Amino acid sequence: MGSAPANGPAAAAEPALLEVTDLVKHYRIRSRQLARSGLSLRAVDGVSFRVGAGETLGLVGESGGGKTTVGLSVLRLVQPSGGTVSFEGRDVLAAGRVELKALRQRMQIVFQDPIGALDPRKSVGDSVAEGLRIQGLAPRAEARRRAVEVLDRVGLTPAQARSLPHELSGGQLQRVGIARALVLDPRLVVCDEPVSALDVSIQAQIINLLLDLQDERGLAYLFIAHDLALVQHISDRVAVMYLGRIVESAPAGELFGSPAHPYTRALLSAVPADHPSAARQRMVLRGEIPSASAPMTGCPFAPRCPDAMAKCSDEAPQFKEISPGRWAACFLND
Amino acid sequence: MTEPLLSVEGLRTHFFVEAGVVKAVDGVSLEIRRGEVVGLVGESGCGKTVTSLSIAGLIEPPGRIVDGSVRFDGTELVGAPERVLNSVRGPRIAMIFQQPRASLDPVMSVGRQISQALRSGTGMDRPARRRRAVELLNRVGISDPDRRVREYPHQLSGGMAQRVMIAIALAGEPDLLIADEPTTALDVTVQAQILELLRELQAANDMAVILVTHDLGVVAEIADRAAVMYAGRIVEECSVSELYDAPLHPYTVGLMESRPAASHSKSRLRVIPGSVPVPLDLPVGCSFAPRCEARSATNLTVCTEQAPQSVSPRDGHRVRCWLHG
Repeated sequence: MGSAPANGPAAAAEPALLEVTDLVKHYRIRSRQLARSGLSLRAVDGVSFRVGAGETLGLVGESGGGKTTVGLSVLRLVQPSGGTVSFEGRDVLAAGRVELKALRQRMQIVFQDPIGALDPRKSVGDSVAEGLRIQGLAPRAEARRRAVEVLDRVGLTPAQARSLPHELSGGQLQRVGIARALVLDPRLVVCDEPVSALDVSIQAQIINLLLDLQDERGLAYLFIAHDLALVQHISDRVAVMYLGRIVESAPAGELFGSPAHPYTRALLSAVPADHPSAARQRMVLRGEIPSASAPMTGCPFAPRCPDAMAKCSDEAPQFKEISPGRWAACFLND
Repeated sequence: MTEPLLSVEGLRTHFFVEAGVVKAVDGVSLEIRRGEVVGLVGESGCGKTVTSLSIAGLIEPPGRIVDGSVRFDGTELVGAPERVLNSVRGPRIAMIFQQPRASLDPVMSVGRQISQALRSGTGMDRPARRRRAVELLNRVGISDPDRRVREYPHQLSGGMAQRVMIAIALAGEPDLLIADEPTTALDVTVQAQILELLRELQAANDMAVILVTHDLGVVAEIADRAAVMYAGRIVEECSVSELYDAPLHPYTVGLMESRPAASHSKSRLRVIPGSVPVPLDLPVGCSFAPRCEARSATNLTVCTEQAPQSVSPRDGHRVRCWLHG
């Protein structure tokens, strides 16, 4: 973790596995009343980060922060409006159809709701094998054999491999979701809230599986979640998003130990206590995350920030390195 | 000792479905004192929501309370006529849910919904109810209540909708609030706001609260006591500090230890093997036995033969486990 690459535009010389620079994704607002206003929803508004081989970058923040859009953009499952995504040195956003297909073999995604990604009429084994066939990596029989192997690795029996999705529990389905990603032997897996729909005891099983697979295969994860304790547990580095921007990024221990951005501080102090005696002085934020379509100048967090100064609502702070490996966008660190 | 506000005895609520009988709640006993906050904790399917709906008299077919008693402030609610239930449910036992917007009427203004809750029993006229609605919105921390009172649920954010639900629940000044996963659908900073509000209102009104949740952190924040449910039964009941520092039931121990801890970054988490049993097909003996590592370590045979009774190895601490009696 000590050698983890810095996160930011002007980071270390060593090429990262994944490098995202100034990523922007705007959605046009289709509502009739608002169409003429020229407003757009800035889901992602200039995001840069790196993920090194075998590393886990946790991406946290509240709903509407843009985390999921970042994850989808990395695989180009949505088409970003601007910026670059570079994976193993190749430009993902400029890739043609054939190259993109090859890239997506090396980077995969696991969703919160695995059942949505599975064909309800196909055995889960066949769904896992399908990826291999689409990629032209294995003939049918071989693909099926490898699917059973991978399913076995994630803890499902050959009999369960023959089940239909509705016959499996939530935890088992998420194992299938992981197997589907894994069967292509990727280097990077985007995990979008992979355990948030699962019960506590099952969450732990899946987290352990992800940690073991990382050890065995040197996988890198972009781990998107709103559960801060979980992200702290699994991540080497953590980036905090607010209204489409990364407001802070740092090695996990430092970010949770001494947060540099007021939003990170608010987020951490809002996490329920891990012990009843930890009755802490809470920093309760006023209001809720505003809509990303509201016109905005200055720091996006300024309206809710307990430390906001006059210039915060006029001028947006730069996202810059405040100490080696630590990045934040806040005037308080100047 | 004074009589508890709520006393649940041997409650069994079963659902009669085509596939058989789902014993969602199968022998729950629980006492709540005035002004006490009790966390009813467990994973999905453990029966915590059905327990709270049974207490509130909100079980509908194919579900039925087949046995047991729910006494609220001296009145038996199981089998009570609708008239009695209506005088209790709402004014004296109020309930809030996980999806506040789904529980609000989409075509009725916020003010009218609060006003309707005030109509039963208060004898207030319409203008008075209107004024009280604005007061209540203000009380639950909604800014600009004079304007908000005219708004409709779709105009509210999730956090605001939950505040409105709480305002409606408070309308009758209830003695007991049942809050079923009240913050689960909310973002963490909004969750902190709502928990703060609940804590403050609970203390100010000396209201008892049953907090139904899967989130042990929320219990640590707000509850005095905890009851841990597994497969339709309360397997452990104790103070929240004992829940954290000295849990007795192997399931509780497993739950507490499977939470990711900050201090052990990137280490494997302790897991409870297997998954929750299907309520149609509960194992003989202790429902947790097939997943219980303490049982496999001690090789107790009684666990798979006979269901353990609730025992009290320590004052104020009850547990259903053969290892403890």
